[in-house]
Amino acid sequence: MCLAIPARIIELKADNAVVDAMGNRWKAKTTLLPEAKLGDLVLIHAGFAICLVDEEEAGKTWELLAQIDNFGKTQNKISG
Amino acid sequence: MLERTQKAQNLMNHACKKLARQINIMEVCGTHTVSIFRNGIRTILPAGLKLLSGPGCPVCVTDQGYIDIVLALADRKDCLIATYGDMIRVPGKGGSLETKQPGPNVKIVLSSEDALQLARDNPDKTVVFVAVGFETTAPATAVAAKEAAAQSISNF
Repeated sequence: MCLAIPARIIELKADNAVVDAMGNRWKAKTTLLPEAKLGDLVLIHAGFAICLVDEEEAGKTWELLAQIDNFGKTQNKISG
Repeated sequence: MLERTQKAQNLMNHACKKLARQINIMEVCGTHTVSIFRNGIRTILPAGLKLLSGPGCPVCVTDQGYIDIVLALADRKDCLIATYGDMIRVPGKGGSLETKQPGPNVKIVLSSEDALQLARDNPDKTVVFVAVGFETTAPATAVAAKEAAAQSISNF
């Protein structure tokens, strides 16, 4: 619940959106962010778009998430 | 134990004297606040060191009584508990929602909308959404409640 993830709105019908982040797609609502349009990058929190984000910020977050994902695959994991 | 406490106290006193200014440390989590209080740590802090309670997350600010109510509801066959995953391991009296797992009465949802969908799909059950949280989750809870009222979903 404490994680919000930037995602792009790839489908939008009224306040029902389908969003995409790093190839993952899921349903979200734009009820709390009525200005959100198709193609916008938004921050999704607990299934709701809560604010618009710019490309650079979203890119940074996705990069960090990819690093976490890669962490599990690295040989030299922190032990203990 | 006492010796170690004394040692820690000496170190703190020494460090605070050396810095010669007020040090404020924020407790990030409410569980820190509780541990610090329970163990009497505040009573041994030097004057120049202050602990401030931080924001707390929805989990640690949830009232114990609320968790116990949710656990009691999870035992009822006519109820379905819909909760964010965060609450699943929070202990109450006699276990946590996780210990009710894989019981069919507890469902993890990622959104209040998913909880509402659960109510649509299970008209014979009362779906109880564990509406923890504040600014970031409360509006989403409100949206689901409004939608349930507008669509006459009475088991939510």
